[in-house]
Amino acid sequence: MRKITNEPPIIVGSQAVFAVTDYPPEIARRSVECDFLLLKRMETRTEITENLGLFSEYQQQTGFYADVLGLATVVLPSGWEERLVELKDEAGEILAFCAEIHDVCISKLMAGREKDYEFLQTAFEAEYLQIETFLERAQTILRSPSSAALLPRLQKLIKKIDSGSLHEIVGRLRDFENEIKSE
Amino acid sequence: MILQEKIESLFTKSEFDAADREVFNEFKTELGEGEIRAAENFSDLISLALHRVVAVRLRSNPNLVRQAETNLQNWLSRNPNTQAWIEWRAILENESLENILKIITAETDEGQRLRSSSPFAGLVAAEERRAIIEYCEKAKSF
Repeated sequence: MRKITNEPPIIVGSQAVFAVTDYPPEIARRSVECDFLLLKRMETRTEITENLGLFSEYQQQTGFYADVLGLATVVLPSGWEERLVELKDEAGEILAFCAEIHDVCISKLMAGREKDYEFLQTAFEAEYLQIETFLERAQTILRSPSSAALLPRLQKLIKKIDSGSLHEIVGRLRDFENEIKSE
Repeated sequence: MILQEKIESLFTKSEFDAADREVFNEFKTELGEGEIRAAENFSDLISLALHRVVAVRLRSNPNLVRQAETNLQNWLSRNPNTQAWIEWRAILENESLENILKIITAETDEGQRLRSSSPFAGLVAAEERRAIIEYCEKAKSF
């Protein structure tokens, strides 16, 4: 990875798993896009999209590209800014910040696409996630403008991973589902 | 020059054919500013718009699929185990042009997933790409 802007970008997609392990699961290696979140400079966003985005010369040369997201398009648990993890190069320079893995997974849950649920299943199976922490972060969504979307997303996740080996996790998710319903 | 005029001027240039103008006008009509603002994932929307232009181009010149095949060959020569590209290579080898067009313009999770590893870089001119991105950027508050 190379330094691409003066403002270190924040990696919020599946590539953030590189902050957890040097040997990421296949589903993270499958992705050829890297989702960045930029908070400050609009110009930086346009610059990255034009130079490194989908169908850029960079993508044509390498096959990989950067996708810049605004906060309006990503749902993250409250306090995520305080949990960012630094991603440094060999010289110790900060290249980017990665959203903490539980925050990434809540964001995936709320994005709610098939590939997001596949990522969540893998993250649970690979034990990157602690269910307690996952549920604590999900609780914060209930106090956010996206709260109404949490229950259907959670139900879809339960349906997705129910047939696998994650019985205990599914049990805890079901408890949380019932808790939301009763509120 | 305001953005709208800039886009219009791009699409009246001789290098963009009538079909390109038609697809872009269709894009503007279908995705009015309100809908763009409401779209859940803005990047997916830009990707869909770009692939609509690719679809028009492929329909008028099916040989352009070779550009995508060349891209995949180059990318896989450096990263041979990248599943997303292996999947696309199989699609280009096995599917008809009609199916490829359906795949790249499908407004489904699966369509979005496949577009996110698209091999069609190089089929949309830089100016045209910028105009589409700028149009969406302007319409959508950051």
